[in-house]
Amino acid sequence: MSDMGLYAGLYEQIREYAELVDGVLIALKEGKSSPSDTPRKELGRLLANLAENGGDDLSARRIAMILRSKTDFDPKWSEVGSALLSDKVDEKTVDLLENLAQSLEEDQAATVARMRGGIT
Amino acid sequence: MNDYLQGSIIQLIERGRVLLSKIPVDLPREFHLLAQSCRQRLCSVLDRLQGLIDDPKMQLPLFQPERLRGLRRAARDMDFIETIGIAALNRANEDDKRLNVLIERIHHEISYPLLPPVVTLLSQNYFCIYPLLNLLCLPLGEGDSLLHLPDLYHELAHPLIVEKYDPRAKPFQNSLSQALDTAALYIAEELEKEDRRRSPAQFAFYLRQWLRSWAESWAIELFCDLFAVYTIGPAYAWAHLHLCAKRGGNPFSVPTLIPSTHPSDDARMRTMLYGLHITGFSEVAGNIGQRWNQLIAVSGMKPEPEYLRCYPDHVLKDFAQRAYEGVSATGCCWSTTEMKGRVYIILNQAWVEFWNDPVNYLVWEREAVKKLKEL
Repeated sequence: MSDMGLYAGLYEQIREYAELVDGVLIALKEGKSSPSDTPRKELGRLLANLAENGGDDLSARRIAMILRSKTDFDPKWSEVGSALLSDKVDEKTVDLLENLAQSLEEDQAATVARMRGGIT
Repeated sequence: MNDYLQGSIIQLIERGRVLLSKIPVDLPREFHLLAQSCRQRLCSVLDRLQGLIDDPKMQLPLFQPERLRGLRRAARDMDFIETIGIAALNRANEDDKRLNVLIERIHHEISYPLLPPVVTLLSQNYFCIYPLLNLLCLPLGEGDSLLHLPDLYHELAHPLIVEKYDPRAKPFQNSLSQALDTAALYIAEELEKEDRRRSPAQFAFYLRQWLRSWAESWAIELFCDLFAVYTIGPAYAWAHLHLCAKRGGNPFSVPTLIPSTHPSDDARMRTMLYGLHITGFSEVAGNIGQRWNQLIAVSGMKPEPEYLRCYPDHVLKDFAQRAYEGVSATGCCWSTTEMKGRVYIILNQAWVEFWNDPVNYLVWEREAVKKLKEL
């Protein structure tokens, strides 16, 4: 497959997780989030399982590996995951999720730039 | 920013509506699924944009970062549908139609477990599939020659990896997950070694680029190569050699600064040859390997010291074995089965004819292309 097709697929995969993070962030900021919410559980599990490559799902596993390959990857993400799966979400968790959302936004923009032949 | 975002979102909604009206309504039957898919995806983007306007909390300063990111995602999604999907619909012609018949034929021959993609001769970048639209793009001239057509089988594997819910794709995905684990474990061990040796940070950086490359695309590309090897047989490895001879760069490339989309051409060939051995094509694998080494010698390229570290044999062999199990479990027909399909026979015979007489091969190919068009 040409680079264009691969980047399009990769973009879609990152976009899906970016949307998930934003959805959870909105619910948290609104004060309407609970550990039993499906998107929150999904994100919580992904982050909690980062150290073990993201769990069984292929897509989650790839995203986990991509996050882990970042040089600034920090074990704090599994703590954020655990917080989301419990009722111990605090301001720090929200700030970290905001950083993650920004990082995924950068990844999406970079992937689209690579798709169009730009250098990032 | 609230006013600005409000205005921008309204503009983007208008653009989406205009795009919807540009989806032709008098398309050949083969393109109906693509038209429907473009329409649905556009409507979904429009719904999301409308939500960014209608939802009262989206006016509040607290939610402006999410709103901005939502707007950007919608703009990028719309660009994709416009430049890939709607562009293909606006050029649908007879040549496209003929290739759609061919892909349908391949679909039946190999018992492909998902719907066949729609084919368009729109690609500016060699063969390429967009699983989101189930759209396969080929360069304009590829419909009238045979030696690269085995690459269609590689492209058919991509939707099997992206499919989210259909259980028929799961065995292939599970095998890929396991192979990815092998690669991730290997990199983790190498990172640990670097840490113990207190090596310069640069080596750990390389390893992270490789990890990211495996996760983003290498594992997928190798699995798609192997799917092709297991369904169309040796013709695919020959096609890889042909492509690398004409368009390849350094066959031993190792990414060090940023991740790369494709594993090195030599690593891909090694993996395909392992696959051919698994399926009993050892003799032809030997011939392909020999020709490959000749090509490498002529190119004058030599591997860097990091090459084998980046693509170790045990990882590539594991991929070949896992993909064999994955393809087998999807129920796709094997290149080794007794009942060969007609497309299989023509595409493999093309390579036999080419090597028998490379200079006069074109005479045979013209006739074979006619036969293929009549299938």
